[in-house]
Amino acid sequence: MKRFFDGYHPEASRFFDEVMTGEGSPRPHYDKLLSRFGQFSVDDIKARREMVNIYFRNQGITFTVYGLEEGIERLFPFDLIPRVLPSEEWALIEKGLTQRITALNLFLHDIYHTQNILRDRVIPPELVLGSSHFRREFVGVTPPRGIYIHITGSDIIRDGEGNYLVLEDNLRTPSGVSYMLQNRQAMKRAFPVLFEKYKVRPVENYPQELLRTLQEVAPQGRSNPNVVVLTPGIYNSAYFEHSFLARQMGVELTEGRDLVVNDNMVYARTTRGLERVDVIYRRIDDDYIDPLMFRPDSKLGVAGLINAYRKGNVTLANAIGTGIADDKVIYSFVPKIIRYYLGEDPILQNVPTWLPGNPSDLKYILEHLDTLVVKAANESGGYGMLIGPESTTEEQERFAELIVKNPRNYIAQPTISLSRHPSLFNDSELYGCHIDLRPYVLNGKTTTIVPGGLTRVALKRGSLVVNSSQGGGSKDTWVVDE
Amino acid sequence: MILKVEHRTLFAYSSPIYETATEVRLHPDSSQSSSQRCSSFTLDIEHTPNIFEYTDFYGNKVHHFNILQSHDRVSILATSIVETGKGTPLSSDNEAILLMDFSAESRFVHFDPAIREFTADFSPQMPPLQLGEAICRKINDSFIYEPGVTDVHSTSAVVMALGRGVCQDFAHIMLAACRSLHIPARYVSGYLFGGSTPLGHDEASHAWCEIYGGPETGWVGMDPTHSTLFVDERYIKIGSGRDYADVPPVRGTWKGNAEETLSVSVRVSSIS
Repeated sequence: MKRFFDGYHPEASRFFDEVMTGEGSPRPHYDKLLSRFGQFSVDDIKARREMVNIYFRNQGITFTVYGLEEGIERLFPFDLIPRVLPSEEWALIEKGLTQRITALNLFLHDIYHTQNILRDRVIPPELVLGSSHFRREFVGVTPPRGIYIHITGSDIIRDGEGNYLVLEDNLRTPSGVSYMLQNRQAMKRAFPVLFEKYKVRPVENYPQELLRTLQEVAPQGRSNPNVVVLTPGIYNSAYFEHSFLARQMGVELTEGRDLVVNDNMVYARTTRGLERVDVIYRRIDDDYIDPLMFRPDSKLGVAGLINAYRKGNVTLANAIGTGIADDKVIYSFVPKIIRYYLGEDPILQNVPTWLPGNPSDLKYILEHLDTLVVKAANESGGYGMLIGPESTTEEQERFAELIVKNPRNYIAQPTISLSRHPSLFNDSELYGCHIDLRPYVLNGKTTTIVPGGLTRVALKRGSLVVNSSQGGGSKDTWVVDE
Repeated sequence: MILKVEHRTLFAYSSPIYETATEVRLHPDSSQSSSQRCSSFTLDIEHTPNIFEYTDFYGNKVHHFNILQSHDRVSILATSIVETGKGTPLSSDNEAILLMDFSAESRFVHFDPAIREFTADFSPQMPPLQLGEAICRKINDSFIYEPGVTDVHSTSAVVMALGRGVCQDFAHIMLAACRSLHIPARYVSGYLFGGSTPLGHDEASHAWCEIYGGPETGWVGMDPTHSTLFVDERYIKIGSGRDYADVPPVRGTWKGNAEETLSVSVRVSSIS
């Protein structure tokens, strides 16, 4: 009998394969999955694919792609084969991320207060103070419980040896958690037997954990705090997620025009009149959140919100000014940040990073543009990026010019061969696709990470870019107890 | 010198507006390091909204208020009594971050080729205050004071190209020139007793600069709009920042569909 995975070629010599070892045998935590899929015919798979598609379509799970012709809404491409993470590997990720978020939060508190890390020259002050994401307006302001980062979506990759590395800390308004939740629902419908075979740790409690976290950081003295979600509106690529999370938490979904500040307090307009708002899970960037304080042309924000926040009358999650710790240049200092505040060695390593601001790094970068990945320090979603091995000489020359002109604005990293995981094409063929992992970290009184996260897949064959805006898809992620 | 300032700001709207949110930076500097003393400050606002206060990153006192219900004007009267000092030295705060902020380009202060050319003759080896004074004199000599050719959004580069402007513009040029020669310099918002324009006694808010002379000297006020150049006891400082954008006397947002007309009157009188 032909086994389902028989035709799969992991190319384990070139990439770390999540499913197969270098010897071509399956890793133990994939045994049950392989044997179950081995029982499926192509028609079985097609039927399951159809169930998943109907589920997604009924849920209205779409995202908007920018930079294409007007308003392209797509179903987020989904791969039926789940990623399986053994619990001991997950434990390492969980510990590593908790350490990282703890240190980054201390870093934010420090740079918005006494700035010891700058005085001690662990980080050159100009890198922090000169960043557009450093919000001088908040120096001396302490958010409730001293928490700046309530919600994080860190991007984790595996290198050729299978080591877990942190690629990015997304500390502003990370998205994608709704896909994690929907993927699980879809998979449970399509593969009920497989769920019986594995002890998959649940992720369904994420919205309740999120609500609990938000309530925990309410302004002091507010019992039974009123939480709302603040969205830029229907044209935002993640609007689906904003409405989904609001619905799941049972809180109001608001746009800027639904909120108003009066006497330094924030209120929501409701059919019952104005209702005091205590905590805002905001999915609007700092720049657009208050036209009185930041961009005066913003129609998305709430005038006076920042003054209410400064006074401690409302909590914003995440806090204003977290973007500085998210800056890709500052990223390269995170291992030092962990040692400085916690006196510990980082549990999860960074991807090695060169800074063009250092003359020796700059020379190296310019000489190796054909092998490095260059990223703009403050772009996200895979925009403003050069992937050396896939680039033309013209593109390399253009980036060389950009880097020399504005060295502070770029970083360079080696092109990491992200680990690969078989993905299903045409319901019959398996092909190794590069993946990453975005776990979602909640940080209130305690730090909570729902097991797993969103595994993003570069579904364009051979592509290294997993961003949904660049043709990536996702798959369900199972943390399994043996 | 004891001076009284009455600063009236009136926003009039062609049809009713609502949900006004306004911040004002009108409280004269009364920080420890300042050589002036503000003995009294009152803020009278039509519709008598509750007024809130905070101190911003640059140490300026900010008052803010909002008016929810519909209205067609916002009238603000700030009255203060200030005992002015000799002008220099003003203060010696030299926090690294402030020195960095006041040494870099900012929203209205650009190091364009024209400013490089303008400062080409100056030797960066000169002591900062001498250099500041020389720059101040050159701006006063070569720029033409002319209201109406620039607006509150004009950058130093625009003003360089025009060769004319008002006190705010001159201050931005001075900041660009000093900072491009690595002298920390900051924008000051305030008033001048005895008329703030070289054209006569058309009193309004005034703006000038403070130049950092080093840890010993601290910040020294210089005014490129007036040929006296150095700030003296006729000057009342409200606050300072990287440029105008950090210390606008009044800024706000409102909702509705209307044309806005702004009128400002400032009266500075001596009471001793």
